[in-house]
Amino acid sequence: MTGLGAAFFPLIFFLALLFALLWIIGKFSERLIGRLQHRTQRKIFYIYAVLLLTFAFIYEWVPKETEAVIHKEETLEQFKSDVLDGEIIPLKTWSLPTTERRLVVLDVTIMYGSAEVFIKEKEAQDSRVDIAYYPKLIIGGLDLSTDAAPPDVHLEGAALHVTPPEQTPDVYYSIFQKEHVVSQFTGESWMTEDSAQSTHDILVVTVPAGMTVTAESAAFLNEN
Amino acid sequence: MSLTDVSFPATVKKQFFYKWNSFSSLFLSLMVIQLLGGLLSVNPSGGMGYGALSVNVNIEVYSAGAVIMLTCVWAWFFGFLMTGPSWHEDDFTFVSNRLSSHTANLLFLCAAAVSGGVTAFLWTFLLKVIHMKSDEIIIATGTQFLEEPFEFVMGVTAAFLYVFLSGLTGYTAGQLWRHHKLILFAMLAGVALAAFRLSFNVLEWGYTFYFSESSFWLFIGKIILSSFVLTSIALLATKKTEVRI
Repeated sequence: MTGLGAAFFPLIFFLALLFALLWIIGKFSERLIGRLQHRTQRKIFYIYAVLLLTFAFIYEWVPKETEAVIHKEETLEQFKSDVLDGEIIPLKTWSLPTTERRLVVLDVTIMYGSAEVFIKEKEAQDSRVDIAYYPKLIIGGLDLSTDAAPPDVHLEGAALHVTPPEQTPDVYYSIFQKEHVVSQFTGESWMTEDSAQSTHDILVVTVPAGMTVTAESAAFLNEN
Repeated sequence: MSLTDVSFPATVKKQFFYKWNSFSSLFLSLMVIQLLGGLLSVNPSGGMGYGALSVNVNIEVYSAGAVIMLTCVWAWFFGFLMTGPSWHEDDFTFVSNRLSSHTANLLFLCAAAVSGGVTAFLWTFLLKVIHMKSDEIIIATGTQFLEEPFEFVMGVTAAFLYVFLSGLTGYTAGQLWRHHKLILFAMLAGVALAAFRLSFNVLEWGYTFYFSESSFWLFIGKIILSSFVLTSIALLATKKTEVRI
């Protein structure tokens, strides 16, 4: 069978199946629906249409929390800048006591590979290392950042370990695609190559004044 | 010769309402077809799983596309059935001509397409409400009337136009089948020949021409143009069927 023939075969098969189905429905209609008076038949259809319209109103008026997960267009640079400007609330924070005067940040790259670490120095020497975790998880145009499980963060002497969480949560989402009769003109598609998936995490480590910090790759914010 | 003086619009109106009152069962069959499409759409049409170190995401994608598609198929068969002997005979109940009969048929097809298109589009809301009841499911996208009224109107109009075009295709095919089988076979053979010999895939062309059209107004223009061509073919096919034999 040629490629074209192969392409036509499922269509022919589908149409044949559909034809058979419609024939059965037609026979069913004749036997059952046909006995009803025309006026009754029309009434049933009107009730059906009104019911559908009612569901449309129900959907419109019921409050939905779903809008929050729709990813707004935002570049990675914007996300970083918002994090550093304090415009985003961290998903989780840790405040770990330390007696050390130095800090070695370890294992962060194991976490996701794309995690970025920013080191900030406090003005006070309060013997505490503060860590803030900001995830950015975009899948198919949905911002699922709040679903991300925070990493396990702990201090062992001067070593700050950032490791993946022991338990990974399962999250279930259902997406209603914009109907083709709409998306055809708006150009929106649920899954595009750009919006398929992207993960980026930021850890902001705030250390006491005067602490020496060593990290594989980190940006020091207070450096002159 | 009839002594009754009847105007063209009055005849069309009479024929239209006669059809509207007599063929109500077709709307019930539309209901059955849409219920079937709705049942198919309760299951996800696609999905993906994404595993990260921080989260495992399972996404199921839903769409009411099956309802709209089955409505189009219904419209095609509906249009085809409109050319059947019983419909044809009913036209002779009134003092009419072929033009008034065609106009009434097209108006009835239009009314059926409005009913089919609107109800098919409204199914998207019903499906969303069904899924809203489930706790673990979150609905993320989709057209909403209050937020995007133009999108809503656009969706309903496009659904109606698709259903209407499908019905009109069935109607024209039915007229050709009834009066000029040879021409219909010749047209089908031409399409098949173009597909196999010239590698012209009519389905791909149709998809690009209608389904990939991103301009709403151009899409309307294409449907109007196609409707004009199809109606002309249907009119030409029934040119010499003015009287009952």
